[in-house]
Amino acid sequence: MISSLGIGVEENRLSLKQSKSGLRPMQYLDSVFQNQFYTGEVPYSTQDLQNKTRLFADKDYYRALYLAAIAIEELITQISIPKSKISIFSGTTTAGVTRTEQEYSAFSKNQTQPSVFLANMADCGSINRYLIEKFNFAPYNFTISTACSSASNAILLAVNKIRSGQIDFAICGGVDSLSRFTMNGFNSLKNMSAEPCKPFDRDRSGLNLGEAAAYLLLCKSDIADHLGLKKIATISGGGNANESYHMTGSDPRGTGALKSMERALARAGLSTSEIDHIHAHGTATTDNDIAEGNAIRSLFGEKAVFSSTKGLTGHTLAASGALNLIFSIIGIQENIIWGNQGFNNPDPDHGMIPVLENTKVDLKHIMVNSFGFGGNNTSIIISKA
Amino acid sequence: MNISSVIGFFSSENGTQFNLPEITEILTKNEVRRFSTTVKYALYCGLKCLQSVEIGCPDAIITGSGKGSVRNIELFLDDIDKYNESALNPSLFIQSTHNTINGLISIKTDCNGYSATHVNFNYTVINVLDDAFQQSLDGVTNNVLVGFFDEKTDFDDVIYDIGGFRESSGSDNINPINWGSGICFLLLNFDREAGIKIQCWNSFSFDQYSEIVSYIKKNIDNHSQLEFLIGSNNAYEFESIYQPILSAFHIDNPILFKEGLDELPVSSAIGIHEAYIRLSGRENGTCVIINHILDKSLDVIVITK
Repeated sequence: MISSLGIGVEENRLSLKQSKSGLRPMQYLDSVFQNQFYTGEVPYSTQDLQNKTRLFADKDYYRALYLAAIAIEELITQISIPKSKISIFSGTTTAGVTRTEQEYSAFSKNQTQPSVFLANMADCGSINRYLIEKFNFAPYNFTISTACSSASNAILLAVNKIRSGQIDFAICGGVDSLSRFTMNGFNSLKNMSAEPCKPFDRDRSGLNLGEAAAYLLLCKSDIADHLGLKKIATISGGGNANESYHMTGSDPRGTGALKSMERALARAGLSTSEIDHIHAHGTATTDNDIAEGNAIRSLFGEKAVFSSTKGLTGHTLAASGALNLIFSIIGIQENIIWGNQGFNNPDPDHGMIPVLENTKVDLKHIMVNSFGFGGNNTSIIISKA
Repeated sequence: MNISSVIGFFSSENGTQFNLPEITEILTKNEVRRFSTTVKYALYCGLKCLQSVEIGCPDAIITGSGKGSVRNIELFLDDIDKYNESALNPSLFIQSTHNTINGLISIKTDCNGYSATHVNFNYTVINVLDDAFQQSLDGVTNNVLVGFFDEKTDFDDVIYDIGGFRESSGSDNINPINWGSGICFLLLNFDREAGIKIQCWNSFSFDQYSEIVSYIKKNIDNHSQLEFLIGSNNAYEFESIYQPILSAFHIDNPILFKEGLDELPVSSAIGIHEAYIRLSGRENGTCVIINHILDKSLDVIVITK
């Protein structure tokens, strides 16, 4: 994994344990918003990221691919399964848009010819194509693009494919990099904050965008046992629901979030009382936090144990579901609930108070929420192995 | 998986010909005015597909696009430059989100079921069919509204030209492909009743000739009404793959389902559309769709009645 908290699981673990925020004024993206908005930018230039991957040095690709490659290189060094038996499931919203926006802008302004390279590289599916080519993964692959729930849906589909016996191994997760396209998109919606975000706080001022790549290796428990693979966690269940309310806004009652959480519980065969923590989507936008706060209260009650880590990483869009899932796995390993940075005052619209500081608790089951534009809501339950 | 209904519109002559339907019978004037061309016609197609079988709300909605909502992305990038990253209209950004069409259909139909959007170039059609089938395994989904869309832009033309993947007028381009736009929706149901059924679907690489033949043989049980629909698009260097497969089944006159139409990353959907129409008028039969997208992969889909 790679996020603004660090490269690799151990750097992220350390930052989480120290509550060390990765939010800083944006430095590397070429945009008028440089040094204006706080973002969860991975603190390396695109060139530096390219230099950190062993496999993509031959030519210029794009930032999101380097992020994904760094995450997957970390993952596959820990396993001895033949790569050709691993299918890849990615969630992404923009993939190579950083490259497209450079070349399209030059073409649009000056009719400058784009590179031959662009013909093959910028679409969402190009992430998997390059990863399959370089890592020799199985050709069977999926790319899901359901906005901010993309990675969670990619993971859920991988779980279902494994459960039904269609594949044995999946690397699944998601990636998105910062881009002018998404910075300006969210700014046009007027939900970007110039200061570090405050999820669920009454005085929140919007989200901070972030970037990350986070991937997990999944297989059935008996196969892991047979191969002597270390089991670090179990995905107990998941649920997806269309909210059917608005293209970008959430129903303040949280009807979509409620359905996805209920479906995840039903799939896992667990009750609300068995969920030790809810790793909230918690973007710090008015819409999300009211809807999610109300959904959590409605399902888990006023004393629900929940928090968001967006105050550390910003909103990493398509990657956020996978990033939060790995943060939750680290939480289960450490028996720590990660504190909700930036919260000071309860919001009267839902009245819920998240866990504020890192808190030692025996953790068995964590619900991880991801909600996206178009009313796409996904919840996954991760459990102690 | 049975196909209950199909509706599709595909462009021809390099995107210049496109017989689009009258959408105001279903969409409001406000929707027609606000939404981009692909978004509004896809919304119309999805709703029309449901309307034709009198289903108000599908159990799930799954869409797929080879490249996604590229037109809106480009227009928003234009605005970013034009207005120097300030005072931008969010509408283009919202509609550039690849799952916009799913979201709109769910709002119009009050669908709270499963929703996913696959954007995976040449793998998209097979991914979507796979995901729809996966939903049936869970046992809570009786039908899935499945949609495919792709749109071509002027910038696409340039990059396909540079990549050597498009017909250039007056040139000796060896890959004379016309790229275009298209939308297709299917309503799939999981009843056991007889009907037009998607028997199997899979992607293969170009070097898997024997696997492709075995796969088709394993999945066809009616040789008497057998038709092969192949995705020939004049890109000759990629088309040698078809002949040995056709020979293995003694097929001399395959149907060229992309003939006269433009190429799309989701062009296997054109084959499904054509197969459905051909089988609708018969008591029984089998259509084997084989379709290549550039030299990247070969989709094989068998549809029976």
